[in-house]
Amino acid sequence: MAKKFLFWTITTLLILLAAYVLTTTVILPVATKNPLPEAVLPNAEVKGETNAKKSEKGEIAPKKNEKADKNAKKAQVKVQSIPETEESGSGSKDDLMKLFELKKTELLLRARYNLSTEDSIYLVLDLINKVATLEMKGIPLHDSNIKEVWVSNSIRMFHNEALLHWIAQPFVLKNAVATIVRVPFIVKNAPKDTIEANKSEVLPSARKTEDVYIVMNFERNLQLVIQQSEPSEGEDKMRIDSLRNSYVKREIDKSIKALSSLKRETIMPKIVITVPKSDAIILYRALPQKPRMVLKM
Amino acid sequence: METEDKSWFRKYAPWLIPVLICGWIPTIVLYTPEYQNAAYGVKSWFSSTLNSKSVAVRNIDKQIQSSKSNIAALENKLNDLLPDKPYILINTTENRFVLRNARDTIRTGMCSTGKDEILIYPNGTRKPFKTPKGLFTVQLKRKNPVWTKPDWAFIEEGLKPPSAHAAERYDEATLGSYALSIGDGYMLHGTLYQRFLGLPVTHGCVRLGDADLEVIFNTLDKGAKVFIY
Repeated sequence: MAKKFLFWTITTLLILLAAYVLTTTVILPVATKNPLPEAVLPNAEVKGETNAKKSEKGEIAPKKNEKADKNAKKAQVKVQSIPETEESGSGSKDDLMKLFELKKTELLLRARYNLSTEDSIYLVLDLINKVATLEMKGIPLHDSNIKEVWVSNSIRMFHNEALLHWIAQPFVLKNAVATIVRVPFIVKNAPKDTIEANKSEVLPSARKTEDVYIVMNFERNLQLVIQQSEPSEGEDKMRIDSLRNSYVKREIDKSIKALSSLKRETIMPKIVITVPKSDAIILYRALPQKPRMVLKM
Repeated sequence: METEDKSWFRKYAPWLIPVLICGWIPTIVLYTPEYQNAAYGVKSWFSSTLNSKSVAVRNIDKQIQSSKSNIAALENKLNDLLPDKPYILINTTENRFVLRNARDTIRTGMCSTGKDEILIYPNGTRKPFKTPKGLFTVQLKRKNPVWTKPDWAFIEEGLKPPSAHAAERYDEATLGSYALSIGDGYMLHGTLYQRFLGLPVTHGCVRLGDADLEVIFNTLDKGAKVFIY
């Protein structure tokens, strides 16, 4: 009898849990907005736009524009990116989509322009044209053709407004793990005399680089994985698998912790790009320690 | 009592697996970010149904126009960033260069960049040999440059560095016919070791083949941009 009671208690609890999970993961996100991390837009961007328009007419010198942009960076206040909606009015669904696409383009260009005022190399990831570009000061340094792109459902299904807020500002790298080192330094002791120097002299040759698998964790929970298009074998494959497995293990640990504390983990939007090995190495080694990335999608 | 328990178990056992599936799969979905993607896949189906309702926006035409003009202004600003004068891109991973003007490629070819080595002096000092990355400008152009050999050039060969102005420090052959200084002692210059072009062998400077160097020297003016990545 006791066993019967226990069985039904567990069954009821599991059914309640299932209902709770379905409500929070499927029903609520659909009925409301996505609970996703937002970018904070500079307050003076509206001013920047006005200045841009004026400068087109030649009313404001470019130097003044730069000043306005610098001021814009200082003031960080949330700005509504998508227009207010109402139940009736002019404007079809096509117009809305057009406006949404224009806003996305505008945000990308603005982010690129803001980054061009800085002194470091940044990444422009264009998932529409499948190109990853290294840029500096607005000048494209290197283009890598992306062979394959995989974008997690959590990004694809963002509500329009949430997506705009999410991609509005460049993503800053928090940490990265890779199967290759960023700077492959070799340490050499200076020879004691000319005889030792002659003995140790070796003809230079092209260095073999291990196969590449890079996991980059950006702010706003974005995870970017860069993998090489060439198949891996032997030790290289083992190294890549080990890195992948360590991430899966970390994910399981997180899940167990979340289960034990009943605290839900925030969704981690993920993008996986496949590029040729040489390009993957260039992208990883050319970027600084804390690079910024602009996303076009 | 035992028989009753057994028959009860037989009766309810087939329910056990579906109940566990109902309970635990959604739990895993809820607490594992990776699996939440699956839930968002279901959501897309719901979304398409919900979003089919037409929504209107105030002054949409005005906003489209405003967005278009902002895009045009930003594109102009970005176009203005492209240098008017020729510039050079150095790829240290592949040891290649691209000489460009505002819109076109003038010349591409092989070069040699830093060997990414750290030399430890007998006194323990560490000297890295690495090509710096970033934006530089041509600060000085020299024909038939003479290289003033720094201390590391002697230490690397197992020699004791001579005094600052000793004759052994001056080398007229190593840098080739031209040198373009980009600051901090780094240069784009020629080389005696043309066969090593395409390999990372230098102490931080960028070595170029004779023909490429001549074109680059004649194309890049003082102040021209040098992007190293």
